[in-house]
Amino acid sequence: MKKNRYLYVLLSGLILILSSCVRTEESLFEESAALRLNRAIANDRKLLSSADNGWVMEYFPTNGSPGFVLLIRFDSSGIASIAAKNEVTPMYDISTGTWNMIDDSGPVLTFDTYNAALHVFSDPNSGYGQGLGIGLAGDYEFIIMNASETEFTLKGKKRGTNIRLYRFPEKKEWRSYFADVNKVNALFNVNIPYLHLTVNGSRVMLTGGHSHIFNIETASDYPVEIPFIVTDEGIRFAQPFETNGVSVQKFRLSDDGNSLWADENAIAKIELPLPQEFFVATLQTKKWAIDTTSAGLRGIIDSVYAGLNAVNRTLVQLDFRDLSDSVALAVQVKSTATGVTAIGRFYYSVKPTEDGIEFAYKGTSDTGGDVLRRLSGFSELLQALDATFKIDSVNSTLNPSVLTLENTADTSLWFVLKQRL
Amino acid sequence: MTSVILETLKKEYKLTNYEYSLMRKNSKIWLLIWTAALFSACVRFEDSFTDSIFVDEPELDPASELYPFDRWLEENYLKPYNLDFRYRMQDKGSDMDYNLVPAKLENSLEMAILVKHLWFEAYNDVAGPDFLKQHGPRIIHLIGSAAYKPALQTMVLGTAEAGIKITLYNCNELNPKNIDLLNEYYFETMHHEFAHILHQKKTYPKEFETFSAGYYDPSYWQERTDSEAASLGFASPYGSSQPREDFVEIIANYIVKDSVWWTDRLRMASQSGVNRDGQVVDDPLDGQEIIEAKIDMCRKWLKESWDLDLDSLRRNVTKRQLQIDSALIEGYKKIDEYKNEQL
Ligand SMILES: [Zn+2]
Repeated sequence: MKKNRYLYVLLSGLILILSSCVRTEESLFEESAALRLNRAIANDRKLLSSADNGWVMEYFPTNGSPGFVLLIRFDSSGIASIAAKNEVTPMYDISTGTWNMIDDSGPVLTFDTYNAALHVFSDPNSGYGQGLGIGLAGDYEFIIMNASETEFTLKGKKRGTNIRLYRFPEKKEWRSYFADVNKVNALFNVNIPYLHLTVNGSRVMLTGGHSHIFNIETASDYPVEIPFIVTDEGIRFAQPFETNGVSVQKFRLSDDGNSLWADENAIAKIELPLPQEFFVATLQTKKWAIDTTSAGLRGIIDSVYAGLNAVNRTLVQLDFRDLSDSVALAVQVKSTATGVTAIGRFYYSVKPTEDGIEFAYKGTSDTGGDVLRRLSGFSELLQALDATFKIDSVNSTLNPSVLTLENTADTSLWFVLKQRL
Repeated sequence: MTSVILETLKKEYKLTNYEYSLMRKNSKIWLLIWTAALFSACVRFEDSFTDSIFVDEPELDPASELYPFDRWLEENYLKPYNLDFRYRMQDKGSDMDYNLVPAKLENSLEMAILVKHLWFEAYNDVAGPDFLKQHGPRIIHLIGSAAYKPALQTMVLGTAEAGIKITLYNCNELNPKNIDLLNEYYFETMHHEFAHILHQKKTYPKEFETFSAGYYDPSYWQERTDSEAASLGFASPYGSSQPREDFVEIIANYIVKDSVWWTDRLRMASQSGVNRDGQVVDDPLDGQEIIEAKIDMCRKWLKESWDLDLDSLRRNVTKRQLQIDSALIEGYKKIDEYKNEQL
């Protein structure tokens, strides 16, 4: 360092001499600015390498892309270790490369040799994002906007994204951080059709959660896209979102793990759809089969069997499915003599409410349905389903695949629905 | 002390079969473009080894993990050639329009050893130790990825700026076992750019431009096949873009391509050219005779102007290509030895 300082004094002396004939005041100011910059760079370097257990980086490749959390330890030897577990680094891994603080019209943090966990976001050949030549187009050089003992505010040099860097707790295991991230991520699994954002009692629907970019249908014009990042505690929108006069950005996972509550405003929360909403939404891609062993439907099912038996048929499948414009109860039967199967459909309108779900029978229009509805047991079955039910998930609130439906007017009438492809 | 102003240099290559097969996996055809020299028109290159252009070279920190490698670079590049071997990427020193990534550290080590072995030491052996000290580049900058131009379906693999800085792209694809790719991506580029530096200091004979006069085409060269180019007396399609590219392509290909390649190229040159559509394109030139005459002229010019023996250089490079493994082992050993200074 001694040689450096010598050179520096020599240089700044030279600058002084050269510029003394121009404007002395300005060159004096420039010199002290340069000194300040050098001090800031040295200080940032010291702060970053002082955290033995590293830092959390909330990284956004571009302003339109979702965020990714990275754990980074800056060794004073010049090596940065970066841990990641995400869509582009699917297995938990720690990769290494060099880091440096440089002067690029201000203090800039750079990762200047290849470090897989970070540079995968910048690699034009990564195969992600916009494909060969572009990739995810992220930064690996960051302008330091603000620095403290506990937190840095960074800006991506090319893309201008806002990136937070904050001290990771001393005692916490790196691996367990990603386990916590996973818990929050459960709310964004691909089986969940949408989430609700409730602010001051009014609700908007959030779709696309599994891609970590929410789509919000607003009353006016186009849907709004909100990229967000999943952390160990909850989520943070890339930019604040304002609805119903309230601005929200950061949400914390509830204790039961089923909802997210806004940090800024306790009356804002993100919740799972109700089981009845889940049922209706998933009908578009999946079928819900009536469990014929349900005790609350035993008598009726028995007489359906008897009716089919009388015409040498057995029941193969009894399920609700989506027919694009309506919901159908589909009844598939098989001939005991020939093995040939046939199907009949009975239409219902379904309407999820706050307390449950209303089914209203709308008749049948195919020949299969026309034959079946004349058999014994069928009119009882169709009538039993023409009612209002209380609906509950049996196995999981995050991904319900078994639901119980209980007639609100007659609790002895109930049955189980099981999801199938 | 003389000073020269170096003009814009450009080197482009059409896709090779190997690269084509690599690119085909992405079902896209990428033309490879080696381009060069940006702002060089206003850069003055002081032709003196003693003038350092690195005024604030930071002192090496023995506590750093990188110390052994940095020390090795100091001993093998900075001290002998006043050359800054930049393996740590700074985007202010590269083109902001591209999406790029830094080179992997392990690849940078390999590249540094290989550039020394295959390039610097080859010229040292043949032209003496002062030759590159005086005329060689002052900065080598390594980039991990290629610089893609998705809109044009092209990519830049190497640039040279003002004869001072050579940038080598795609270093994360470095594979010392694949000589052809080593040459195509890195070493032929270096010979190409260096030949430009030499002919800008001492012009090549005007007569060189007469052999294939009337067949240079700066905007159509990439449409020409190897066969068409050869039958017109060019070492490569890019050589047919303009005379000075022709001149350096003859030299660079002569140095790095083996006799199998050259036998094939000269056979191609002796026959009529076949274009992309498989049609025979007739021309009145004897390609083989022209290429041989061009090589002769390059050989003579290098000898008379630079006291550089082209055939010795070629033999030396060929020999060195067979010693890559031992050069790497030796290089790593030397780098490792600097760890002792850290204790
Ligand atoms: Zn060129």
